[in-house]
Order: sequence, then structure tokens, then C-alpha cells
Amino acid sequence: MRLLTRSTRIYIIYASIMMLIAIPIFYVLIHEMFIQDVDELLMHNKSLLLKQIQQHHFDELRSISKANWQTNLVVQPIPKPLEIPKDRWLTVYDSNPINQEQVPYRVLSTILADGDRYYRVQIRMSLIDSEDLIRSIVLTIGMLWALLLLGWIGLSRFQSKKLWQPFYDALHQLKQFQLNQHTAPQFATQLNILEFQELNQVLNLLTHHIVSTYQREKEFTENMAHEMQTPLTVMQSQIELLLQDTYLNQTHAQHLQFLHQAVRRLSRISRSLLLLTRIEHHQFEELSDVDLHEEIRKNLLLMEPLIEARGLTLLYQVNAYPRVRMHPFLAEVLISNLMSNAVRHNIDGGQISLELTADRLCVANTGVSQPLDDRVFDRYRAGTGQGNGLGLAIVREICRTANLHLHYQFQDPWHKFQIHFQPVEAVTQDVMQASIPNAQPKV
Amino acid sequence: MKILIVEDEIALQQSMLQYLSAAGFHCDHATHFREALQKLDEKDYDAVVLDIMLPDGDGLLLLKILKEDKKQEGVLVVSARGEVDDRIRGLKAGADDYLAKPFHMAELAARLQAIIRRRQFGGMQVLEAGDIKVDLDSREVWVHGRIVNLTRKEYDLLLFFLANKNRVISREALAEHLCEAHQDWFDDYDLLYAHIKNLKKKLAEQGCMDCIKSVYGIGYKFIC
Repeated sequence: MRLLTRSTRIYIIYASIMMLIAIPIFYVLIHEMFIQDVDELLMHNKSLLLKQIQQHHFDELRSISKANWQTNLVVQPIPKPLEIPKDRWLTVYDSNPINQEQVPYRVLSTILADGDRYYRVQIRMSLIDSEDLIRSIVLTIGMLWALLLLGWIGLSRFQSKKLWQPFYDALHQLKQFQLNQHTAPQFATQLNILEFQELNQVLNLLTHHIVSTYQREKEFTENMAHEMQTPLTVMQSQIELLLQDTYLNQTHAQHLQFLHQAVRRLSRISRSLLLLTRIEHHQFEELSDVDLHEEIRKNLLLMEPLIEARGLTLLYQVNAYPRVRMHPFLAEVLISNLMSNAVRHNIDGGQISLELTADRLCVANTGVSQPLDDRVFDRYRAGTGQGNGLGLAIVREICRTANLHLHYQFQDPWHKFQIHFQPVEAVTQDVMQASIPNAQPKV
Repeated sequence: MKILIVEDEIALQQSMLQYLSAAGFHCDHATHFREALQKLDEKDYDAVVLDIMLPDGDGLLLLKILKEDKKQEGVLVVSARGEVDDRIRGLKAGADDYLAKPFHMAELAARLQAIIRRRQFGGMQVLEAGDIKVDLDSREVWVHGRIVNLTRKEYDLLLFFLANKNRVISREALAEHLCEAHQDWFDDYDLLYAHIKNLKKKLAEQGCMDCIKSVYGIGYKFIC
């Protein structure tokens, strides 16, 4: 829910509740005030009546009153009461003489004495006009209220939108922000609202810090990788020189070999880390349409002796010749890493299966008969200690960069690495002829 | 074969000097850009081993000066930067070969010999070692006048041995040489063993004496 919607909603709920409570109260109040007013008027009439009684005879008065007040005065002779009761106020409904409608009346019921004759006198007044009046007053006020509320909501929304604009701008910039662009977004700091100004200042600091940290990390890896190589070469060359020594014995040679392997490993790790960092930093941006079959073919050529040496059987099935839009070097590394992974983690006399379709490449190999865990693509998760544990991490990073979908699956005894891709254009027409020679099981 | 080693890291410079001298090269060395420039001016070399990251100047600049002066020296660039674009930059600048650190001395010797051979137009394009004769133009190998049919890899391996005659070459150097650009692949020597076995067998079939000796299981030595 948007901030604005939320705050407006709260106000609307509050205003509605207030109106629901206030309008009845308001109605009752106005009604009471009106009744009081009418009651005063009736009292006034009563005192007028008393004055007339003192001046005239009641019978006469009765006839006068009949003429003047018509139905609004009811006089009824009663026997002398024990004590004269107080005046009573009533609201009654009576039928309207014109259209027989029930009409509310306010009645002042009193006992008047003319000499020793007593009369019950009821002075009454129609409330029909006043009810209408009250209703229209309440309605008008209610409408005014509603109008005020609507106007206020509109105004506050408009105002809020304007007030929050810098916030939305900053949000938009943050959404657009990508680390690998190497430039931090510039958030406006010349704002009227102090809070937003501070927010943007903090954002500026933060993004600059992130970008520079990211940059430093990249430089660190690069420097590290490059600066390591010369000392490593020195170490390696010293080992090679020592190997030439005629006094070298079997034990020495063994030590030297372990040393040599450690140097090689160090060098490979640094190179792989450098490659990973460069992929992560999007330094392979020149894309072209890579023919996957061609890449696989080139790789197979290089790897065939190795596959043979390990006693492995390879099956390469081509169903299509898709082209994928990616950096050619990354394609080469991707295929090479996947395939060397399939060789390295294979069992003696095992199998490798390659399958290329219009939108999928599947590299499967036999190996340990239990699935690799979820972190198979994480760095340094190599199971058997061979390799440097970065091969599959590089594969995943390349897939991420090239928008390929990478998926690992274990179907005993196969470890399957599948890559789904969006082919540039799938060449399907010549698949039938072309796939025949290539579908043959290769060595 | 006279070569100049331009490398600012003294330990590495001395290692190269020692190894290459023992491999039959006449070596001279320079530590700085200016020193290298001076030596190249004074003498003629067959090849230059050039580190392109020198403290007082870009090695690529030195390469450019050499090319502009129409010098005949072959240049082997060595660099701590081994990425594809760095290689391409080095080769475009006119280097004959590009070797990324860390490299093996055996590989360095083999590459240097290849560069020098390529530059000796009309020279003897035949290598001889013991019973073995290699025609570099036709890529044919002869033993006692009989041709030996080698695969490309076996031929490469033989040339590598010939470039490092009577030297102990580590398994690592040999395996890396075989894997070429894909050196990151393996600590796996099955491939190497298979190739060496085949090479030895093919040479022996033609009556060649056993010249490839294993050294404590950590490397090989070509004896002649």
C-alpha cells in the first residue's frame, strides 16, 4: 500500500466515523433547541391567554379564541381539582385537517381558573414546518462537511505528492542503480525539506562508498592475481633449477614435487578468482552469436586424448545447432569447464553424455552414486579435492551474465548439468541430415 | 644463440639466466628499460625475453622502439597479466610470442628456440639429437633413416624434449605444455603418461635408443 493511500484512508475512516456520530447528535441538539423555542412561544401564548381571562369572560374568550386560534386551543371545563397541577409539555401526533396526515404538535397542557370555574386548556403548535427546517439545516451542514472533507483530502493528496516527490525521485534512482556501472547515482541535495535533504546526502555517501568498495575489491583481486605471478614464477623456476641438481635424491624430489604442485595450484586459484571477478564486474560485454556445437567440437578435439586416457566413453547427441548470444571467450570457458568437470569427477571406465538441442545443452557424467549438495556451484565446494573448486562457480557466474538457466540434477548414476538458453535463431531445417553423422556415438 | 633477458625481478632474472645458459643460450641481462635500450643498441641478439611491466617504462614501448628500428630480434614477452586481451595486445604490438607468468623454464627455452628457428630463414631446418632427426619444415621425424609416424601432440612433445636436452623437465611443465591454453584443467597426468608411452614406443619400434628417462617419478629427462 502506498504511503499516501494509507494516510488518506485513515483520515477518511476517521472523518466518516465522526460524521456518523456528529450528525445525529447535531440533529438532536437542533431539535431540542427548537422545541425549547416553541415551548417559550407556547408559554407566551399562555400568558396572553391569562391576560385575556382577566379582562373578559371565558365563554366569550372561548368564542374569540375559536375564531383566532382555531384548532390550536382546546378548552375543556373540569370540576375543581384538589390542587392545581403544574403545566405539562407534550409532543403529540394528530391528523392534519387538510390531508389527514399525521402531523407532530407541541402541546402545553395547563389548568386555568376563571372565578370558580376551572378549565383544562391545551395550547398547541404544529411542528411540521420546523421538522422540515431542521432536516434541511442538518442536510446542508452535512453536505458542507462532506465538501470540506473531500476538498481537504484532495488538497492533502496533492500536497503530499508534491512533498514526497524527492523521495520518489530518490527511490527511482536507487532502482536504476547498478553496481557494475561504476558510477554512483547523484541524489539531489538542494531540497526544501530538511529530512529529504539529509536522506539524499546519506544516500550519496552510501552509494559512493559502495561503488568505491566494489571497485577496490575488484582492484584488489586484480592486483593480487597479477602481483602473485612473478613471485610464483621465481618459486617455480627455483624448483626447476633444483631438479637439475645432480645431488638430488628421491626424498628431495618428492618434496620438490609437492612444492611444485602447491605453486601451480596457487597460480590457478588466483587466475580463476580473477576470471570470476572480471565476469562479476561485467568485463566481457562484447557479445556475438556463438555456435555451441562448434565450441563443443573444438573442446572435444582437445579433450579426446584425455577422455581416452581415462578410459571414458563419450556420447555426443546433436539435435540442433543453436546460436547463443554471449561473449565468445565466456562460451569457451563455459563449455571447457563443464566438460573438464565431467571428466574430472568421473569414475574409471565411466561415461559422459552430451546432448545439444535447440534450447538446451546437457552435460552428464557418471560419478559418485549420490547427488551433490545444493552448494555444488558455490566456491571451493569441489568434492574430491581435484581442481581448484572454482570451475562450477565460474560456470554459474557465466550463466548469470549471459542469462542462461543452469540446473543440476542427479539421476543415478548420472550427474546432469543442464543449461537452458534462448537461441538466437534455431537452425532446424538441416537438422535431419546434419544430425546423422554427429549423432553417432563418439569415442 | 644470443639472447637478452629484460626482467626487473632479480631472482627471476637470475633463474632464467642460469637455466637458459645451461640450455645452451648465450645470455645477457638488463634490469631497467634504459639499460635494455642501451644493450639492444650496442649488440645484436637473436631474441629478447621481455617483461612488459618494468619499473621505469612500459615494456610495450620498448617493443615498439625495436619494431620501429627494424631490429631483427625476436621478442618473447613475459607478463604477469595472462588475460586474453593482454595477450592480444602484446602480439599486436609485434611480440613473436607471449608467455604468462608463472611459466616453466622448460617452456621458456622451448618457445625461445621456436622463435629463433622461425627467424633463421634458409638456415638448417633440421634438428638432430642422437638417433633422431627432425625436419621442422615437413614436420617429419626420422630414426636411422626411417620415418616415425607421430601424432601432433607426440611431435610437440618431442620438440619440447629436444629444446630441453639433458635437463630434467617436471611433469607439470610437460602436462601444461600439452594442455596449451587449457592449462587450468588438470592436475591429471594420465594424458601425459599416455603420450609419453606412445612416443617412447614409436621411437623404440624404429630402433631408437631409449632416450626419455623418468626421474624419480617427478619428471623426465631427454638424454643424448
